[in-house]
Amino acid sequence: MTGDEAKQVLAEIRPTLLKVAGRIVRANGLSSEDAVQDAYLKALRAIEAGSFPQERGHLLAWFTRVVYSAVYDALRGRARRMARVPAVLDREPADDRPGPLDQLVEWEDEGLIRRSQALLASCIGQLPGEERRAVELRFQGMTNRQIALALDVPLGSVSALFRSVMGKLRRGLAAAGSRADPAG
Amino acid sequence: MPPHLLGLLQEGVEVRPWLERHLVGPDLLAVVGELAAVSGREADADAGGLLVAQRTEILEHGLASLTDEEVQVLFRNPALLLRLQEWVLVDGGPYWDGVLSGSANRVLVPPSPVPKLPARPGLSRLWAVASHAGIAAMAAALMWFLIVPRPPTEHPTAKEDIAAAPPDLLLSTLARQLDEKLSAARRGPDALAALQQMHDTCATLAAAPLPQLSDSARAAVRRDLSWLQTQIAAQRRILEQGAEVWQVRSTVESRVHSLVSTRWRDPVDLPDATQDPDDLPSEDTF
Repeated sequence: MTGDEAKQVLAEIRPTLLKVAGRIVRANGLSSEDAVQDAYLKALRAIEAGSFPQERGHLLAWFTRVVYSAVYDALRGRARRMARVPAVLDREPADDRPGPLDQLVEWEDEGLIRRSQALLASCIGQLPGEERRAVELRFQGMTNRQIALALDVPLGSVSALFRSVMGKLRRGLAAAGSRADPAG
Repeated sequence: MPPHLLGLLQEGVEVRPWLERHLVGPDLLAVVGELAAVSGREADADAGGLLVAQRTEILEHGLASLTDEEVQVLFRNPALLLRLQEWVLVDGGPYWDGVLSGSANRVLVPPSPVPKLPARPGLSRLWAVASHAGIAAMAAALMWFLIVPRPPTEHPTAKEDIAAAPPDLLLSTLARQLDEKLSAARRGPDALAALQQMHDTCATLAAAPLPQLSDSARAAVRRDLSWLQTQIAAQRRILEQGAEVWQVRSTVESRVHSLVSTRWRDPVDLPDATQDPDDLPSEDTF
Protein backbone atom coordinates (compact mmCIF):
# COMPACT_ATOMS: atom_id res chain seq x y z
CA MET A 1 0.00 0.00 0.00
CA THR A 2 1.43 3.35 -0.97
CA GLY A 3 1.20 6.46 1.16
CA ASP A 4 -1.49 7.89 -1.10
CA GLU A 5 -3.50 4.69 -0.83
CA ALA A 6 -3.14 4.72 2.95
CA LYS A 7 -4.34 8.32 3.05
CA GLN A 8 -7.24 7.39 0.85
CA VAL A 9 -8.21 4.55 3.19
CA LEU A 10 -7.89 6.89 6.15
CA ALA A 11 -10.20 9.35 4.43
CA GLU A 12 -12.71 6.60 3.67
CA ILE A 13 -12.89 5.38 7.24
CA ARG A 14 -12.48 8.81 8.81
CA PRO A 15 -15.85 8.74 10.65
CA THR A 16 -14.86 5.50 12.34
CA LEU A 17 -11.40 6.82 13.14
CA LEU A 18 -12.81 9.95 14.70
CA LYS A 19 -15.19 7.92 16.85
CA VAL A 20 -12.38 5.69 18.04
CA ALA A 21 -10.09 8.61 18.70
CA GLY A 22 -12.79 10.54 20.53
CA ARG A 23 -13.43 7.63 22.81
CA ILE A 24 -9.79 7.10 23.74
CA VAL A 25 -9.25 10.81 24.19
CA ARG A 26 -12.24 11.21 26.48
CA ALA A 27 -11.17 8.18 28.51
CA ASN A 28 -7.99 10.09 29.23
CA GLY A 29 -9.81 13.13 30.49
CA LEU A 30 -9.05 15.31 27.50
CA SER A 31 -11.40 17.36 25.44
CA SER A 32 -11.98 15.29 22.38
CA GLU A 33 -12.03 17.66 19.43
CA ASP A 34 -8.54 19.03 19.62
CA ALA A 35 -6.75 15.83 20.51
CA VAL A 36 -8.70 13.88 17.91
CA GLN A 37 -7.63 16.33 15.28
CA ASP A 38 -4.06 16.11 16.50
CA ALA A 39 -4.18 12.35 16.20
CA TYR A 40 -5.54 12.47 12.70
CA LEU A 41 -2.89 14.93 11.60
CA LYS A 42 -0.23 12.87 13.29
CA ALA A 43 -1.37 9.85 11.32
CA LEU A 44 -1.20 11.80 8.07
CA ARG A 45 2.29 12.96 8.93
CA ALA A 46 3.41 9.45 9.71
CA ILE A 47 2.04 8.23 6.40
CA GLU A 48 3.90 10.99 4.59
CA ALA A 49 7.04 9.85 6.37
CA GLY A 50 6.38 6.31 5.15
CA SER A 51 5.79 5.04 8.67
CA PHE A 52 2.59 3.01 8.51
CA PRO A 53 1.49 -0.63 8.23
CA GLN A 54 1.19 -2.09 4.77
CA GLU A 55 -2.03 -4.01 5.28
CA ARG A 56 -5.27 -2.13 4.94
CA GLY A 57 -6.84 -4.21 7.73
CA HIS A 58 -4.15 -3.02 10.13
CA LEU A 59 -4.73 0.68 9.69
CA LEU A 60 -7.34 1.08 12.40
CA ALA A 61 -5.23 -0.69 15.02
CA TRP A 62 -2.25 1.42 13.96
CA PHE A 63 -4.35 4.56 14.16
CA THR A 64 -5.36 3.58 17.69
CA ARG A 65 -1.67 3.57 18.51
CA VAL A 66 -1.31 7.01 16.98
CA VAL A 67 -4.20 8.27 19.09
CA TYR A 68 -2.50 7.08 22.26
CA SER A 69 0.64 8.82 21.17
CA ALA A 70 -1.27 12.06 20.56
CA VAL A 71 -3.02 11.74 23.91
CA TYR A 72 0.30 11.21 25.59
CA ASP A 73 1.73 14.28 23.91
CA ALA A 74 -1.26 16.32 25.05
CA LEU A 75 -1.05 15.10 28.64
CA ARG A 76 2.65 15.70 28.81
CA GLY A 77 2.30 19.12 27.21
CA ARG A 78 -0.43 20.04 29.64
CA ALA A 79 1.61 18.93 32.63
CA ARG A 80 4.60 20.87 31.45
CA ARG A 81 2.66 24.01 30.66
CA MET A 82 0.83 23.94 33.95
CA ALA A 83 4.13 23.63 35.72
CA ARG A 84 5.38 26.68 33.95
CA VAL A 85 2.42 28.98 33.85
CA PRO A 86 3.68 31.36 36.53
CA ALA A 87 6.81 32.08 34.55
CA VAL A 88 6.12 30.43 31.30
CA LEU A 89 8.75 32.22 29.35
CA ASP A 90 11.50 31.84 31.92
CA ARG A 91 14.09 29.28 31.08
CA GLU A 92 13.77 26.27 33.31
CA PRO A 93 15.52 22.94 33.14
CA ALA A 94 13.62 20.98 30.53
CA ASP A 95 12.59 17.42 31.17
CA ASP A 96 13.54 15.98 27.83
CA ARG A 97 13.61 12.37 28.87
CA PRO A 98 11.81 10.40 26.21
CA GLY A 99 8.46 9.15 27.37
CA PRO A 100 7.34 5.56 26.95
CA LEU A 101 5.18 6.38 23.99
CA ASP A 102 7.51 8.80 22.24
CA GLN A 103 8.20 6.43 19.42
CA LEU A 104 4.69 5.09 19.27
CA VAL A 105 3.81 6.47 15.89
CA GLU A 106 6.92 5.21 14.23
CA TRP A 107 6.20 2.03 12.47
CA GLU A 108 9.14 -0.29 12.40
CA ASP A 109 10.12 -2.12 9.31
CA GLU A 110 7.59 -4.91 9.03
CA GLY A 111 10.28 -7.40 8.15
CA LEU A 112 11.96 -6.64 11.47
CA ILE A 113 8.71 -7.05 13.34
CA ARG A 114 8.10 -10.42 11.72
CA ARG A 115 11.63 -11.54 12.48
CA SER A 116 11.27 -10.65 16.15
CA GLN A 117 7.94 -12.48 16.30
CA ALA A 118 9.51 -15.49 14.62
CA LEU A 119 12.28 -15.27 17.18
CA LEU A 120 9.75 -15.54 19.99
CA ALA A 121 8.24 -18.60 18.34
CA SER A 122 11.70 -20.08 17.94
CA CYS A 123 12.59 -19.49 21.60
CA ILE A 124 9.34 -21.14 22.66
CA GLY A 125 10.16 -24.07 20.40
CA GLN A 126 13.43 -24.58 22.25
CA LEU A 127 11.83 -24.90 25.67
CA PRO A 128 11.71 -28.32 27.33
CA GLY A 129 8.58 -30.35 26.59
CA GLU A 130 6.31 -29.56 29.51
CA GLU A 131 7.24 -25.90 29.64
CA ARG A 132 6.73 -25.52 25.91
CA ARG A 133 3.34 -27.19 26.07
CA ALA A 134 2.27 -25.01 28.99
CA VAL A 135 3.25 -21.85 27.13
CA GLU A 136 1.51 -22.96 23.95
CA LEU A 137 -1.68 -23.62 25.86
CA ARG A 138 -1.43 -20.29 27.63
CA PHE A 139 -1.00 -18.50 24.32
CA GLN A 140 -4.11 -20.26 23.12
CA GLY A 141 -6.00 -18.47 25.85
CA MET A 142 -6.20 -21.21 28.46
CA THR A 143 -6.40 -20.43 32.14
CA ASN A 144 -3.83 -21.84 34.56
CA ARG A 145 -6.44 -24.26 35.87
CA GLN A 146 -7.16 -25.59 32.39
CA ILE A 147 -3.46 -25.93 31.70
CA ALA A 148 -2.96 -27.82 34.96
CA LEU A 149 -5.73 -30.20 33.94
CA ALA A 150 -4.38 -30.63 30.44
CA LEU A 151 -0.85 -31.35 31.67
CA ASP A 152 -2.03 -33.28 34.70
CA VAL A 153 0.05 -31.23 37.11
CA PRO A 154 -0.93 -29.36 40.30
CA LEU A 155 -2.22 -25.81 39.75
CA GLY A 156 0.73 -24.34 41.65
CA SER A 157 3.15 -26.04 39.29
CA VAL A 158 1.81 -24.05 36.35
CA SER A 159 2.83 -20.76 37.98
CA ALA A 160 6.24 -22.20 38.78
CA LEU A 161 6.59 -23.37 35.18
CA PHE A 162 5.80 -19.92 33.89
CA ARG A 163 8.31 -18.28 36.23
CA SER A 164 10.98 -20.55 34.87
CA VAL A 165 9.83 -20.00 31.29
CA MET A 166 9.84 -16.21 31.62
CA GLY A 167 13.48 -16.22 32.64
CA LYS A 168 14.45 -18.56 29.83
CA LEU A 169 12.53 -16.62 27.19
CA ARG A 170 13.96 -13.30 28.30
CA ARG A 171 17.49 -14.66 28.26
CA GLY A 172 16.92 -16.38 24.93
CA LEU A 173 15.47 -13.28 23.31
CA ALA A 174 18.24 -11.07 24.68
CA ALA A 175 20.93 -13.46 23.46
CA ALA A 176 19.35 -13.72 20.02
CA GLY A 177 18.98 -9.95 19.91
CA SER A 178 22.63 -9.36 20.73
CA ARG A 179 23.70 -11.95 18.14
CA ALA A 180 21.61 -10.16 15.54
CA ASP A 181 22.95 -6.75 16.53
CA PRO A 182 26.43 -7.06 18.02
CA ALA A 183 26.82 -3.27 18.19
CA GLY A 184 23.60 -2.77 20.05
CA MET B 1 10.60 -4.14 23.81
CA PRO B 2 9.86 -7.61 25.19
CA PRO B 3 7.01 -9.46 23.52
CA HIS B 4 3.61 -8.52 24.86
CA LEU B 5 2.68 -12.17 25.21
CA LEU B 6 5.12 -12.55 28.08
CA GLY B 7 2.63 -10.53 30.11
CA LEU B 8 0.32 -13.54 29.95
CA LEU B 9 2.87 -15.65 31.81
CA GLN B 10 3.07 -13.34 34.80
CA GLU B 11 1.59 -14.50 38.05
CA GLY B 12 -2.00 -13.43 38.65
CA VAL B 13 -2.66 -12.28 35.09
CA GLU B 14 -6.02 -13.48 33.85
CA VAL B 15 -6.73 -14.07 30.22
CA ARG B 16 -9.89 -12.04 29.69
CA PRO B 17 -8.81 -8.78 31.40
CA TRP B 18 -5.43 -9.03 29.68
CA LEU B 19 -7.05 -9.39 26.30
CA GLU B 20 -9.59 -6.66 26.97
CA ARG B 21 -6.84 -4.21 27.89
CA HIS B 22 -5.05 -4.94 24.65
CA LEU B 23 -8.24 -4.65 22.65
CA VAL B 24 -8.52 -1.00 23.63
CA GLY B 25 -4.81 -0.30 24.00
CA PRO B 26 -2.08 0.85 21.64
CA ASP B 27 -0.37 -2.50 21.08
CA LEU B 28 -3.04 -4.76 19.68
CA LEU B 29 -1.37 -5.02 16.30
CA ALA B 30 1.81 -6.29 17.92
CA VAL B 31 -0.15 -8.74 20.07
CA VAL B 32 -1.96 -10.06 17.00
CA GLY B 33 1.35 -10.52 15.21
CA GLU B 34 2.87 -12.37 18.15
CA LEU B 35 -0.13 -14.64 18.53
CA ALA B 36 -0.06 -15.44 14.83
CA ALA B 37 3.66 -16.19 15.00
CA VAL B 38 3.47 -18.55 17.96
CA SER B 39 0.26 -20.22 16.85
CA GLY B 40 1.51 -21.14 13.39
CA ARG B 41 -1.82 -22.59 12.34
CA GLU B 42 -4.50 -21.72 9.85
CA ALA B 43 -7.50 -19.70 10.97
CA ASP B 44 -10.69 -21.57 11.79
CA ALA B 45 -13.04 -21.21 8.86
CA ASP B 46 -16.10 -20.38 10.94
CA ALA B 47 -14.41 -18.35 13.68
CA GLY B 48 -15.91 -15.07 12.46
CA GLY B 49 -19.39 -16.40 13.12
CA LEU B 50 -18.61 -16.54 16.83
CA LEU B 51 -18.08 -12.81 17.00
CA VAL B 52 -21.18 -11.98 15.03
CA ALA B 53 -23.32 -14.22 17.22
CA GLN B 54 -21.96 -12.74 20.43
CA ARG B 55 -21.60 -9.15 19.30
CA THR B 56 -24.27 -7.57 21.49
CA GLU B 57 -23.18 -9.45 24.58
CA ILE B 58 -19.53 -8.59 24.08
CA LEU B 59 -20.30 -4.92 23.55
CA GLU B 60 -22.38 -4.78 26.72
CA HIS B 61 -20.54 -7.10 29.07
CA GLY B 62 -17.07 -7.61 27.67
CA LEU B 63 -15.33 -10.91 27.17
CA ALA B 64 -16.92 -12.32 30.31
CA SER B 65 -19.88 -13.08 28.07
CA LEU B 66 -17.76 -15.61 26.16
CA THR B 67 -17.10 -19.14 27.33
CA ASP B 68 -13.52 -20.26 27.87
CA GLU B 69 -13.64 -22.12 24.58
CA GLU B 70 -14.86 -19.03 22.76
CA VAL B 71 -12.04 -16.97 24.23
CA GLN B 72 -9.62 -19.58 22.98
CA VAL B 73 -11.10 -19.24 19.50
CA LEU B 74 -10.05 -15.58 19.61
CA PHE B 75 -6.51 -16.52 20.60
CA ARG B 76 -6.29 -19.09 17.84
CA ASN B 77 -7.66 -16.63 15.31
CA PRO B 78 -5.94 -13.38 16.27
CA ALA B 79 -7.06 -11.53 13.15
CA LEU B 80 -10.52 -11.52 14.71
CA LEU B 81 -9.17 -9.30 17.46
CA LEU B 82 -8.71 -6.45 14.99
CA ARG B 83 -12.36 -6.66 14.05
CA LEU B 84 -13.34 -6.87 17.67
CA GLN B 85 -11.26 -3.81 18.46
CA GLU B 86 -13.23 -1.72 15.99
CA TRP B 87 -16.49 -2.93 17.47
CA VAL B 88 -15.66 -2.20 21.07
CA LEU B 89 -14.07 1.16 20.36
CA VAL B 90 -16.89 2.34 18.14
CA ASP B 91 -19.96 0.70 19.67
CA GLY B 92 -18.89 -0.74 23.01
CA GLY B 93 -21.05 0.15 25.99
CA PRO B 94 -20.12 1.63 29.37
CA TYR B 95 -18.29 -1.56 30.28
CA TRP B 96 -15.67 -0.77 27.66
CA ASP B 97 -15.39 2.80 28.89
CA GLY B 98 -14.22 1.32 32.16
CA VAL B 99 -11.70 -0.89 30.39
CA LEU B 100 -10.49 2.09 28.41
CA SER B 101 -10.02 4.21 31.50
CA GLY B 102 -8.13 1.47 33.25
CA SER B 103 -5.99 0.84 30.22
CA ALA B 104 -5.31 4.53 29.80
CA ASN B 105 -4.23 4.86 33.41
CA ARG B 106 -1.77 2.05 32.94
CA VAL B 107 -0.36 3.20 29.65
CA LEU B 108 -0.49 6.94 29.79
CA VAL B 109 1.25 7.98 32.94
CA PRO B 110 2.51 11.53 32.46
CA PRO B 111 6.26 11.77 33.08
CA SER B 112 5.81 14.12 35.99
CA PRO B 113 2.94 14.76 38.36
CA VAL B 114 0.65 17.59 37.39
CA PRO B 115 1.40 20.45 39.75
CA LYS B 116 -1.18 22.44 41.63
CA LEU B 117 -2.90 25.22 39.78
CA PRO B 118 -1.19 28.57 40.14
CA ALA B 119 -2.76 30.93 42.61
CA ARG B 120 -3.29 33.84 40.22
CA PRO B 121 -7.03 34.13 39.71
CA GLY B 122 -6.87 35.03 36.05
CA LEU B 123 -4.74 32.08 35.20
CA SER B 124 -6.77 29.74 37.32
CA ARG B 125 -9.81 30.78 35.40
CA LEU B 126 -8.11 30.13 32.09
CA TRP B 127 -6.77 26.78 33.14
CA ALA B 128 -10.18 25.88 34.43
CA VAL B 129 -11.50 26.64 30.97
CA ALA B 130 -8.75 24.52 29.53
CA SER B 131 -9.45 21.57 31.75
CA HIS B 132 -13.17 21.66 31.12
CA ALA B 133 -13.33 22.63 27.50
CA GLY B 134 -9.90 21.74 26.28
CA ILE B 135 -6.83 23.55 25.16
CA ALA B 136 -8.57 24.46 21.94
CA ALA B 137 -11.15 26.51 23.79
CA MET B 138 -8.45 28.21 25.75
CA ALA B 139 -6.48 28.93 22.65
CA ALA B 140 -9.54 30.28 20.96
CA ALA B 141 -10.17 32.51 23.93
CA LEU B 142 -6.64 33.81 23.80
CA MET B 143 -6.88 34.54 20.13
CA TRP B 144 -10.13 36.34 20.69
CA PHE B 145 -8.48 38.53 23.29
CA LEU B 146 -5.57 39.16 21.01
CA ILE B 147 -7.24 40.17 17.81
CA VAL B 148 -10.62 41.53 18.85
CA PRO B 149 -10.56 45.11 20.17
CA ARG B 150 -12.18 45.13 23.60
CA PRO B 151 -13.32 47.86 25.99
CA PRO B 152 -10.79 48.26 28.78
CA THR B 153 -13.35 47.51 31.49
CA GLU B 154 -14.28 44.15 30.08
CA HIS B 155 -12.38 41.13 31.29
CA PRO B 156 -9.90 43.03 33.42
CA THR B 157 -7.73 39.96 33.85
CA ALA B 158 -7.44 39.24 30.16
CA LYS B 159 -4.20 41.11 29.66
CA GLU B 160 -2.64 39.38 32.61
CA ASP B 161 -3.79 36.05 31.25
CA ILE B 162 -2.28 36.70 27.87
CA ALA B 163 0.94 37.83 29.49
CA ALA B 164 1.44 34.33 30.80
CA ALA B 165 0.21 32.46 27.78
CA PRO B 166 2.69 30.12 26.15
CA PRO B 167 3.41 31.18 22.60
CA ASP B 168 2.56 27.74 21.31
CA LEU B 169 -1.07 28.49 21.99
CA LEU B 170 -0.98 31.25 19.42
CA LEU B 171 0.16 28.73 16.87
CA SER B 172 -2.33 26.13 18.04
CA THR B 173 -5.08 28.61 17.52
CA LEU B 174 -3.89 29.49 14.07
CA ALA B 175 -3.58 25.84 13.19
CA ARG B 176 -7.05 25.17 14.44
CA GLN B 177 -8.61 28.05 12.60
CA LEU B 178 -6.82 27.05 9.45
CA ASP B 179 -8.04 23.50 9.79
CA GLU B 180 -11.61 24.60 10.40
CA LYS B 181 -11.61 26.91 7.43
CA LEU B 182 -10.00 24.40 5.12
CA SER B 183 -12.27 21.62 6.29
CA ALA B 184 -15.26 23.77 5.42
CA ALA B 185 -13.84 24.58 2.00
CA ARG B 186 -15.21 22.06 -0.46
CA ARG B 187 -14.26 23.89 -3.64
CA GLY B 188 -11.03 25.38 -4.87
CA PRO B 189 -12.10 29.03 -4.61
CA ASP B 190 -13.23 28.52 -1.00
CA ALA B 191 -9.93 26.90 -0.11
CA LEU B 192 -8.03 29.69 -1.85
CA ALA B 193 -9.96 32.25 0.16
CA ALA B 194 -9.34 30.37 3.39
CA LEU B 195 -5.63 30.15 2.71
CA GLN B 196 -5.46 33.82 1.84
CA GLN B 197 -7.30 34.72 5.01
CA MET B 198 -4.96 32.71 7.16
CA HIS B 199 -1.98 34.13 5.32
CA ASP B 200 -3.21 37.60 6.18
CA THR B 201 -3.88 36.62 9.79
CA CYS B 202 -0.30 35.42 10.11
CA ALA B 203 0.90 38.72 8.75
CA THR B 204 -1.29 40.69 11.13
CA LEU B 205 -0.13 38.69 14.12
CA ALA B 206 3.50 38.94 13.10
CA ALA B 207 3.19 42.71 12.91
CA ALA B 208 1.41 42.95 16.27
CA PRO B 209 3.50 44.13 19.27
CA LEU B 210 2.85 40.85 21.18
CA PRO B 211 3.82 42.47 24.46
CA GLN B 212 3.12 39.29 26.37
CA LEU B 213 6.23 37.66 24.96
CA SER B 214 9.84 38.10 25.86
CA ASP B 215 12.14 39.39 23.13
CA SER B 216 13.46 35.97 22.24
CA ALA B 217 10.02 34.35 22.32
CA ARG B 218 8.56 37.16 20.22
CA ALA B 219 11.29 36.75 17.65
CA ALA B 220 10.73 33.02 17.52
CA VAL B 221 6.98 33.36 17.16
CA ARG B 222 7.42 35.88 14.37
CA ARG B 223 9.80 33.54 12.67
CA ASP B 224 7.25 30.73 12.97
CA LEU B 225 4.53 32.97 11.60
CA SER B 226 6.73 33.95 8.71
CA TRP B 227 7.46 30.28 7.99
CA LEU B 228 3.75 29.55 8.14
CA GLN B 229 2.99 32.38 5.72
CA THR B 230 5.49 30.96 3.27
CA GLN B 231 3.97 27.50 3.48
CA ILE B 232 0.44 28.78 3.05
CA ALA B 233 1.46 30.89 0.07
CA ALA B 234 3.15 27.88 -1.53
CA GLN B 235 0.05 25.73 -1.11
CA ARG B 236 -2.07 28.52 -2.50
CA ARG B 237 0.06 28.45 -5.64
CA ILE B 238 -0.22 24.68 -5.85
CA LEU B 239 -3.97 24.92 -5.53
CA GLU B 240 -4.11 27.55 -8.24
CA GLN B 241 -2.20 25.18 -10.48
CA GLY B 242 -5.00 22.62 -10.21
CA ALA B 243 -4.21 20.46 -7.17
CA GLU B 244 -7.13 18.89 -5.33
CA VAL B 245 -8.43 20.67 -2.25
CA TRP B 246 -8.00 17.58 -0.07
CA GLN B 247 -4.38 17.26 -1.11
CA VAL B 248 -3.62 20.83 -0.21
CA ARG B 249 -5.55 20.54 3.01
CA SER B 250 -3.70 17.42 3.99
CA THR B 251 -0.33 18.98 3.27
CA VAL B 252 -1.10 22.22 5.06
CA GLU B 253 -2.48 20.36 8.06
CA SER B 254 0.57 18.20 8.20
CA ARG B 255 3.03 21.08 7.95
CA VAL B 256 1.20 23.27 10.41
CA HIS B 257 0.86 20.43 12.80
CA SER B 258 4.55 19.69 12.71
CA LEU B 259 5.23 23.29 13.62
CA VAL B 260 2.69 23.26 16.43
CA SER B 261 4.00 19.94 17.69
CA THR B 262 7.47 21.36 17.82
CA ARG B 263 6.26 24.16 20.01
CA TRP B 264 4.16 21.85 22.14
CA ARG B 265 7.09 19.58 22.68
CA ASP B 266 9.23 22.40 23.76
CA PRO B 267 7.24 25.54 24.43
CA VAL B 268 9.91 27.19 26.55
CA ASP B 269 13.19 26.63 24.84
CA LEU B 270 12.31 28.54 21.76
CA PRO B 271 14.99 28.63 19.13
CA ASP B 272 16.93 31.73 18.49
CA ALA B 273 15.37 33.65 15.64
CA THR B 274 18.54 33.45 13.61
CA GLN B 275 18.91 29.70 13.94
CA ASP B 276 17.33 26.91 12.00
CA PRO B 277 16.17 24.37 14.55
CA ASP B 278 16.62 20.86 13.31
CA ASP B 279 13.17 19.77 14.28
CA LEU B 280 11.36 22.55 12.51
CA PRO B 281 10.22 21.58 9.05
CA SER B 282 12.20 23.29 6.38
CA GLU B 283 11.03 24.82 3.15
CA ASP B 284 12.82 22.02 1.30
CA THR B 285 10.54 19.40 2.75
CA PHE B 286 7.44 21.19 1.67
